[in-house]
Amino acid sequence: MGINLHLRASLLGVVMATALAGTAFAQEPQRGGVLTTIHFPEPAVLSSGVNSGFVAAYVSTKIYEGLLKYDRKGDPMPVLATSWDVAKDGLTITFHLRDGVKWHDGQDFTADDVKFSLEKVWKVLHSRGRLIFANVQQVDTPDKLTVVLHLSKPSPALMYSLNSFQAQVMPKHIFDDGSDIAKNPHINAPIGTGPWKFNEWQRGSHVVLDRNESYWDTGKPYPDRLVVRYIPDAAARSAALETGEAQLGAQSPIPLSDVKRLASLPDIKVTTEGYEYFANVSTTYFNTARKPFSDIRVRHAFAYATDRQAMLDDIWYGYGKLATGPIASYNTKFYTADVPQYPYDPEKAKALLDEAGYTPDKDGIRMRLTYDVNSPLGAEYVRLGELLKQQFAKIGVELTLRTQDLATFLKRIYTDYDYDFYTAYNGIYTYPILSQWWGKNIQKGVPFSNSTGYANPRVDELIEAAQIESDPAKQVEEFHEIQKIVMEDLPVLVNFELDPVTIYSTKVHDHSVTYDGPFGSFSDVWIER
Amino acid sequence: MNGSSGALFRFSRNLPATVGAVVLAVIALIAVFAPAIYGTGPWDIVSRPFYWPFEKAGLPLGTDMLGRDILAGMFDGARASLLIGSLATAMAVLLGLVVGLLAGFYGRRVDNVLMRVTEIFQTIPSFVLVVILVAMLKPSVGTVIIALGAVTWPTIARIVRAETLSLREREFVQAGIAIGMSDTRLLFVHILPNALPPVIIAASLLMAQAILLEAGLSFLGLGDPNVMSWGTIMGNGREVLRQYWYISAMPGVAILVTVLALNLVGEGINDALNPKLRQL
Amino acid sequence: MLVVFIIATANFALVHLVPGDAADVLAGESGSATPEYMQMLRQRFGLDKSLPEQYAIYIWNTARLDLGYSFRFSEPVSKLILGRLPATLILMVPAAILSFCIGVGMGVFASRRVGTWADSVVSVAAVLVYAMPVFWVGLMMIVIFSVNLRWLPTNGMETIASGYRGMDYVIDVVQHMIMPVTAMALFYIALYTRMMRASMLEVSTLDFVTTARAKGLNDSRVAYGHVLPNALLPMVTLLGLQVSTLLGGSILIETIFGWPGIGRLAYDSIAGRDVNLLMGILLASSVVVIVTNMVVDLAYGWLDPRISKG
Repeated sequence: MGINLHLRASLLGVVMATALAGTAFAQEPQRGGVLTTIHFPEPAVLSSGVNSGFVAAYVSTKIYEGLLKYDRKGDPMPVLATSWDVAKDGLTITFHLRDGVKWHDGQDFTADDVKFSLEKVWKVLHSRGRLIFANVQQVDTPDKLTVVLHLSKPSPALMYSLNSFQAQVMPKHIFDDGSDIAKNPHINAPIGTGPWKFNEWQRGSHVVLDRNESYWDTGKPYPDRLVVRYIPDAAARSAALETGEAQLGAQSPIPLSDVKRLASLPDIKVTTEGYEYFANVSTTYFNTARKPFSDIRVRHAFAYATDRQAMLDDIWYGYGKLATGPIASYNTKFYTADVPQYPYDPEKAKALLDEAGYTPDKDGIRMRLTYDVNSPLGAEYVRLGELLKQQFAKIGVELTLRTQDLATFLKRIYTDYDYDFYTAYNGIYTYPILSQWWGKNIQKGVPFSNSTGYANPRVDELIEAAQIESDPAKQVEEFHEIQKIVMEDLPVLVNFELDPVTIYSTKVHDHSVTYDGPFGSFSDVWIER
Repeated sequence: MNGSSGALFRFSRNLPATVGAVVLAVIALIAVFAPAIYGTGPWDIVSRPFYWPFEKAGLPLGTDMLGRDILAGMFDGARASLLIGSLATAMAVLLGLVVGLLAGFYGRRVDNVLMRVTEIFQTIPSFVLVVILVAMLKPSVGTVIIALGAVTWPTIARIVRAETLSLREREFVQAGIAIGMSDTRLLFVHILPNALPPVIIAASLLMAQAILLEAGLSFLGLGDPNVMSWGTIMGNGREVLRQYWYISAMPGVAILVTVLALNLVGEGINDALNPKLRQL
Repeated sequence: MLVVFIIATANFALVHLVPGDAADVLAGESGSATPEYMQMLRQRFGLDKSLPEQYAIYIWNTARLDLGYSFRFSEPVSKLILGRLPATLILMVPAAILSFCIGVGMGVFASRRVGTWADSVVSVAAVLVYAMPVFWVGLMMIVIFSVNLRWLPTNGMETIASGYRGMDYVIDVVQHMIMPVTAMALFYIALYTRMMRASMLEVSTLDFVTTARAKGLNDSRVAYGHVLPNALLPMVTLLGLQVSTLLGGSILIETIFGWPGIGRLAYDSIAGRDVNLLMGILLASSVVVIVTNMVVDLAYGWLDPRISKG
C-alpha cells in the first residue's frame, strides 16, 4: 500500500514535470484572446504624425507602420521596406518596399504613400521629424515599390529614425485631399498597414483595436483584440493590473513604490527591457544665464552636494542606474564613461561655495533659490523637490519649491527663462540629438530648446559636425569629446539613467521584441490560454 | 441675565459643543506651537521609510515614503489646514454676507445685478474654477485661500439672500419699515442677527469644505509644495494606499476630528442663539 | 441672453489670463520643437491673432451656437462634450436623486426626534460622512470592494469589448456605477441631512407654526403640512447648487474611478490649455445652471406664495 502510494506520487511527479516542461518550452504562439493594456495619460490624438509624444505613439504604433524597425541591439530590420541601400557619400538612400501590403481599408500601399508621408507629414508636422528629415531635398518614386531620397548633406540620424515611433507611413488617399491634415477625422480613426485595425475610441475611457485579418505577416497578430485603457488614478491602475482587468502596463504605469509588491505576485512579471531606444537620463538643468549658476564653481558645488544614490533609491526605488554623462550607457555606440565625475561630497561643495563668495550668513544660509518642481511628470518629481530641499539645506542653501502645470512650466523655462534650476528627463535616441547643448538653439518660446543659456563654441562646432558626419569612427570621436566638455562645464547635472518598467501578466508573451519595446507594433505578442 | 451671556451659558451647558470647542482649541494650540514642539520641521528625513505607527520608539505615527516623521507633519499640517480653512471661510462669509444682504434687502435692480454676478461665479463648476485660479496664480497658500474663498462665497450669499427675502416680509421688519427705521438699522439690527444662524451653520460646513477642497487640490498635486498640510500628506500617501494605508488614514482622521469639532461648535452656537429649539 | 454674453466674456477673460498656451503643451508632449513648428502650431490654433480678434471670433461663433474646434483633440468641441454627456448624466442624476431623497428624509426624521438618541445617531453619522474626503472614501471602497472582496470592478464605466447586449449590458454598467455614485452621493446626503434638520427646527419656531399648533393641529399635521414645505426652501436652493457642481465638479470622482465624464475633460482642457474646449464646457455648464436657477425660482414661488408678492 505504502509503496503503491509512493509510486503514484512519483508518477504524478513525473507527469507534472513533463507538463511543466511542456509549458516552459512550448513557446509556440497561441491564437485568440483579448489583450487589455493600460497606459497613461490619454493621448490627444491617435496619429504620431501630428503629435510626437509618447501617449499618441503607444496606440498609433500598433496601427501605422514605419519603413523599418530596430532589433534589441538597435540594428535596422525590414517592415514596410524589405531592403535599402545607402550610397557611400550618404546623400542617396533607396528603399525597396514590401509587395502586397494593403491599407486597412483595402487599398494598396505604394511608394506614393511614403513620399506623401515624408513630404507632407514628417518634414512639416512632426516636431522631431522636422530636424531629422530637414536635409531631404527630393523624394523620387521610380516605380510603385521603390522610394529614393536625395539629401543635401549626410544625415546619420535618419536611418535610426524610420520606425513607426518616429516616422509613421500614412495613407495618401485618405489624407492628401488638400485640406488640413491635422483636421482630418482619420487622425483620430487611423487607417494604417499595421497588425491592428482601429475599432473605437471612447474618450476618457479606452481605445479598442481589432486584429488585422489580412496583415502582410500572415498569421500575426495572435490575439483577437487589443484594448488600451486610460485610468487616471495611479492606485487604480495598480488595482487593475493586480485583479487581472489589465494584463500589461507599459512605461511605469503605477507608482514605483508599488512595483515590488506587484512583482512578488505569482501571476505578474516586471521587466525594464524595451526602453533602450529612448535612453532617458534624469537631468537637472541650471540657468547659467543668471546668478548664481552663471558661476561654474556653484554648478560644481551643486553637483557635489547632490546625493544621486539617495535620489535613485528613495524616490525611484532603484529603477535606474547612476549616469556618468548625458548619453546613456544603453547607447553602446556613442557612450563614454571617460568624463569628469562628481561623487557626493558636501564638504567639497561648501568649499567651492566659499571660494565663489557665497559664505553663510548668521542663520547659516549661503543663498536662497527657487527650485521648479516638474510636477507634470508625476509625483516622483514633487518628492524629488522635497529631497533636494533637504540635501541642499546641508550646504546652507535654502530652497523654495514651486509647482505649476505643464503650460506654465514650459513658458517659465523656455520663454521667460525665469528660473534657477529644475529637473526633467532627456531622451537622446539612438543617434544622439544634443540640441539642448547647442548654443545656436537658444530660442525663446521653443520648448525643449536650449534653456540653460549654455553656449560653448567648441561644443557647437562638434554638434554641427556630428549631425552631417558619415564616417562612423569620427562620429564616435565627436560625441565623446562633446560629453567630456559638457561634463566639465556642467550646464546640467546628469542624475541617473531611467529604467521604466513594463508590468505584465505571466500569460502575456513576446510583447517587447524590438528596440522600442512596448512602442513597437505588438505583432508578436500572444496570450497563453 | 442679558441675551449674549445667556447664549454663552446655554452653549457651555451643551456638552458636545463644549467638547468640540475644547478639541478645536487643542488643535489650534498645536498649530500655533508646532514649530516650538518640532524644531526640525516636517520635511526632515529622520529614519527609514515606511515605519508603521508604534513600530519604532520616538516615531509614534511612523514615517512616510521618504522616512519623514508623520507626527511632525501632522502638527505642521494642523497649522496649514486651519489657516487655509479659516481664512478662506472668513473671506467667503464676508463677501457672501455683503452681497446676500444687499441683494435680498433692496431687491429689484440691486438684486438683479448682484445675483447675476453670483450666478457667473456659480455657473462655473467650483472645483474647475479653483483649478483654473490656482493654475493662473501659481500654487501657494495665499492663492489657494483666494481660490477657495472665491468659489465658496456664493453659497453664503444665496442663503443670506433667501433669509433676507423671507425676513423682509416678516411682521417685525415690516413694522420697522412702517415706522421709518433707517436701512442700516433695519439691516444690522433686525435682519442680520436673524439671518445669522443658518450662516453660522453654513460657515462651519464651509470651513470643513475648504479643508476638504484643499485636500482635493493636493490630491491632484496643486497645493503649495512648501507647506505640509494634511491634504499633502494624504496626497503623498495615496499612491501607497494599499500597502501603507496609515499614511493617508491619519490625516483623514485629523480632518475628520477637526470637521466634527467645527460642526459641534457650529451647532452649539446655533442652539444657543435659538433657545426655543431646546424646548421642542 | 445677456447673461450668456457676460458669462462668455468672463470665461474668455479667465481662460486667457492663465499663462502658457496650447502650442506650449503640444510641444511639451512631443518632447521637442523648432521655432517654425511653434509658429505653425500657433497659426493653426489661431493663437497668432491679437486678443481682441480672438475675442470677436469667439463671441461671433458663440452667437451662432458654434463652440468651435479643439485643435488639441482634432474634434469639434460640441462633439467632445456630447460624447461625455451620457457618462456624466448617469453619474450625476442618480447621485442627485439619491442624496436629495435620503438626505431630506433623514433630516426630517432627525428633526422630529430632536434630542433623542436617534437624532444623535443620524447627526453624528452625517457629520462623520461629511468629514471624510471624497477621494479617500473612493479609494477605500476600491481597496475593500474591488481588490479584497472582488465584488465590483475597480473602475471604468463598462467592461470594455465585452460584447454585452440588452439587460447584460445594463447590469454591467450598474455594477460599475455603484461605487462612484455612492461616493458622490454620500457627501451630499450628509449635507442635506444636516441642512434639512436645521431648517425644520428653524421653521418650527416661526409664528405661523405656533399659531397652527395653537389651533390644536396635531404634531404630524403641523410638521408635514406647515413646517416641511417651508423647510424645503433652502433644500431647493441646495439642490440647484448641487446640479451645477455635479456637472463640472466630479473631477476627483472621475479621476479615481476612471469615469469618462465632463469633469475630467474640463481638467484635461485646463492642463492642455485647450481654450476652445474649456470655454465650451464652461458655457455649457453655465446654461445648465441658468436653467436650474429658473426652475429653482419657480419652485420657490410654488412652495412659498409670499415670495411672489414681494
